[in-house]
Amino acid sequence: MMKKNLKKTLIASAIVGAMAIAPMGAQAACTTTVGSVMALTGSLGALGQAIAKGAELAVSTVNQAGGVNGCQLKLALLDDQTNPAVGVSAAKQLVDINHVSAIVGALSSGVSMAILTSVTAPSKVVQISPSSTSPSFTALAKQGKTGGYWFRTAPSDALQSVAMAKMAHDDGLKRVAVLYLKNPYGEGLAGEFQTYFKRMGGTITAAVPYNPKQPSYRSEVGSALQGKPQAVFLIGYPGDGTTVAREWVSAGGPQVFLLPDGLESQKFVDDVGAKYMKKVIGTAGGSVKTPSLTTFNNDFKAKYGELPTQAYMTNAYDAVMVIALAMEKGKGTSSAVVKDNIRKVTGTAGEAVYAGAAGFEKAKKLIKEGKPFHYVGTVGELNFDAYGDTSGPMAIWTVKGGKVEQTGMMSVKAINAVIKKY
Amino acid sequence: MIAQYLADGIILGSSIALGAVGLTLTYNILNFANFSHGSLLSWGAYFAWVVVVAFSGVQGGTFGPLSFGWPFVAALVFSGVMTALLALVVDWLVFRILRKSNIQVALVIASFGASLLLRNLIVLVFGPEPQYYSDNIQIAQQILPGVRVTPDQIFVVVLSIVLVVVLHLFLTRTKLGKAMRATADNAALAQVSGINIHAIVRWTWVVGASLAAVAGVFFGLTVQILPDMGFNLVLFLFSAAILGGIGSIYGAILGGLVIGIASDLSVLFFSPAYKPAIAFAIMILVLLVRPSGILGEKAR
Amino acid sequence: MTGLFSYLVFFLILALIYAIMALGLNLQWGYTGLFNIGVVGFFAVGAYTFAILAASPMAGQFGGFNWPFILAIAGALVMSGIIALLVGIPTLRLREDYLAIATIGIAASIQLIANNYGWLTGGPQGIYNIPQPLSNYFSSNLGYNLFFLAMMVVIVGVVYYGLERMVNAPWGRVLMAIREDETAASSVGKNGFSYRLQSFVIGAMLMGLSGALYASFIKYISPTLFMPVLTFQVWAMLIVGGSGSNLGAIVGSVLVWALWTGSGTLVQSILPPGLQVKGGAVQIILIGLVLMLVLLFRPRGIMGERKAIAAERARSKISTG
Repeated sequence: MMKKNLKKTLIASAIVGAMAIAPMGAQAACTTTVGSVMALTGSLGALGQAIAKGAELAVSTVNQAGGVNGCQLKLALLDDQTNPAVGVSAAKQLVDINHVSAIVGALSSGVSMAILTSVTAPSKVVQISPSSTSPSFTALAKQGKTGGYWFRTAPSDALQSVAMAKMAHDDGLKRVAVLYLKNPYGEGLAGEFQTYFKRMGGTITAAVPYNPKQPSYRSEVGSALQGKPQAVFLIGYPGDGTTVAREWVSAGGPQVFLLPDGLESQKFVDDVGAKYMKKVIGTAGGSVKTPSLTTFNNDFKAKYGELPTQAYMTNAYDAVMVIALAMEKGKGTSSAVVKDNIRKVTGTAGEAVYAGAAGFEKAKKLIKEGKPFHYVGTVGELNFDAYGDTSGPMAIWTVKGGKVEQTGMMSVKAINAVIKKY
Repeated sequence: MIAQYLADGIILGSSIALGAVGLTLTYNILNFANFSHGSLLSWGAYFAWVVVVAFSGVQGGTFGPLSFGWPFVAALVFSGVMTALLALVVDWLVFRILRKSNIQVALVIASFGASLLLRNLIVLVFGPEPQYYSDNIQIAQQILPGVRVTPDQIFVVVLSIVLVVVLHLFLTRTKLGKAMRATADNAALAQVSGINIHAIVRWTWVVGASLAAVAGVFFGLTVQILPDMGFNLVLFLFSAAILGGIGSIYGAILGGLVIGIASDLSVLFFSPAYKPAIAFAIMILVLLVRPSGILGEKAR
Repeated sequence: MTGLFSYLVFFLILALIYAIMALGLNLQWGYTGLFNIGVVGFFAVGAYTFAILAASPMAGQFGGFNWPFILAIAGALVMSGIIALLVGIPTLRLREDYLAIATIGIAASIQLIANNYGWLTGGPQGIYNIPQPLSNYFSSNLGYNLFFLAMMVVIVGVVYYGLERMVNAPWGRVLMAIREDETAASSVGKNGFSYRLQSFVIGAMLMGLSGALYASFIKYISPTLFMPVLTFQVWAMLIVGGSGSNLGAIVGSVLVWALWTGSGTLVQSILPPGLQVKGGAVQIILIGLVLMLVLLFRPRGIMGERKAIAAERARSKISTG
């Protein structure tokens, strides 16, 4: 009795599984699929839906330039619901059923790490996250447990906090309150910033964590306002971050904002209202001097009818571009090809190649001629170290005339000099 | 600082209270924990937002120091009506049929399914980004020593009080209200004495959903409008309803205020990182002393 | 085909991990009428206890004791049992809805503790040095997953067999008698509280076991996982499968997990590329719709024909109590 039923269960599950999967069986003769797992719903849903557009833009750009190795590039995008268990299942589907050799994602470190340890590293599939910044990834890579298949295009927390502390210090700010999201990103940035800002002689008037998805942040803002800060370093993402910023303004907090890459978002500035942001000092990975960002913005406008409005869209774009270039360079689509060629198409050696279809075509030509080149990302040069981390310059941004605008940059050398000095 | 946290707590608590009243009504009369109640809040906020956006070209001016004018009042009414209709449709399609099977837990799980569906319909229709009724942020002004609030926040508290008084009059002075209370006390007895249970069920949804809509609009006005704003609130609403004693309308109001004030005051003693747990801690503590809730009937 | 097979193996491992939770919940709710809506809390206790005991040491953090798999699993069982005792003793004597509140509150608090006590749980960064049992003996990923699936089938089989024995023994009949009419049961000398506590603790230990197995299979846990939605997934599994039937709990877990994860690929293949970003929302709408439809047509669940009487009583008591 029990055996029979158990069998039925297994058959039923197989049918359900097959039903869900069946349409994926038929693929065109020459399509190369890149997988992507992103939070399209759940607590990072709003951010994820925007970031996914960055990845999709890269795919259509590559196809505009004739595809990869002559094949159409396709993005298989699955939702992780900001939930690790759902995320690993989605990634496993992409690896086993869509046979992808590289996955772009996930967004939150908690989901990315679960996918890395249980799917991509054991299956030897490349994973590039556009926004996971937790230091645990570096630690895991140092133990050799990522097999070298892990990369990320978001800047390290440590460099960014140093840059932010320096900017705040140079601006003459002495008393700063920190309001940070209680997740790996918020905790990482807040901790490092406090260390360096204090060493530079500044005072942290309060460091207040906040949880995502709360009905109101008035009491958190209230605690942060005690100690009369001159400015607030607000760490988070648009959405909850917007609420905190609005309640900060509403409660009469000084309208001087220090904002990290997570809030380098036109949507965030529009929702809070530029008129309430008297001064904004922002940091984000990237460099002003790259034409890639302009190309990205123009292409984005052409495809979606509006300018990009969220953080990390560029990081997702770069992740797809790097994968496509690595496949082209290695003349193959396997994960080994992608893994081994990522560092050959980035870095600083050879001729510079920029974003956009023209850039991709130029890269193709250089590959054919056997000349070395490096892709300069929309977030600036990408120097992946042995652990898959990038160390690039930090872009300084602000809000001018209601628009998010990059105004300067801080080189890796300059940041390291700051670290040495303090 | 305590006074400021207290004021913040009252503002938060009065919106929670309105949502909890609707929840406690449906919990009591329809006999199940409706997890989709939070989604009614969200839909209420979006219905109102549609009207506000539609009238955004009209220069109607604003009421004194408040951030809105007549269009917002129209939006509030429209939102109440539409949300009530939505609740009736969901009830007719799902809960009505499941009530017949008389398996309460199936209703609870179905209501969770409904909340998933309703919430993500908002994402499809209106998009996932936060919205606001007004681009302007009101700067809080000092009304008492150490207490700063915005005019909109005062409006929210005052209108909540007015609505509670109206609800009280409705339940105690009108025939329909009395019938609802009788049904809540004992459905079988009410039916025997000639009350039309089906009509009562419909009116329960109308009252509960329109109060939820108002609560949603209040959140939208003082915080922001998001697809899952109601879902994020649903545990607070349950805490308030249970704390006050299921079925007790005044209990739900009191419960809402206690939850709101307690979670805002908690930052004086604990890190804000623990704020979400405070509502539960308060609830468990109160129930240890009064197992049927603050204003609930005596446990059997 | 190997791809599909490999995915099915992976899928079934996770589905069976959920099935153990659903079996625990079935003991608590289906047989005893205990409305536990904090399933994820006990799952988290099991997962973290296992991770702390079994992981290799990490700098600046408690734990990393490198315990062998079996001992760490035992530790997870003991710890979730202890937490269940602490929750159950004050609450099980009182009204039924009291337990619901206590469990959901405890689950929320456990998640917050996991997110804030970095020295114990790794905080938001989580714990990543969790070993898989015997993984050194396998060279291929699929081979190892097959081994893990076999292990899961054995564990679920043992749990299933044990539960069936228990609920069909006098002990189980007392449970059901208390569920149906506690006054009558106590009049023949059966202490309702003690039996309910036993059922609650055993159910919670199964949830802890599930958490430990999840941690060991995925090798990483962080607070992001332990959200209330997991509790609802498990409840949906039990109710769809059929409350009061152990087989129903297992079937429900496989079906609901297939719906929750498989629907993504389905939606993705239907939607045109331009609407892919909306796929997540469409998928969740689909999940909600299917959940409601199943319940509309089978309100007692797929396997739950006989023993689902408790469902009616316990809930209706809440509102009249």
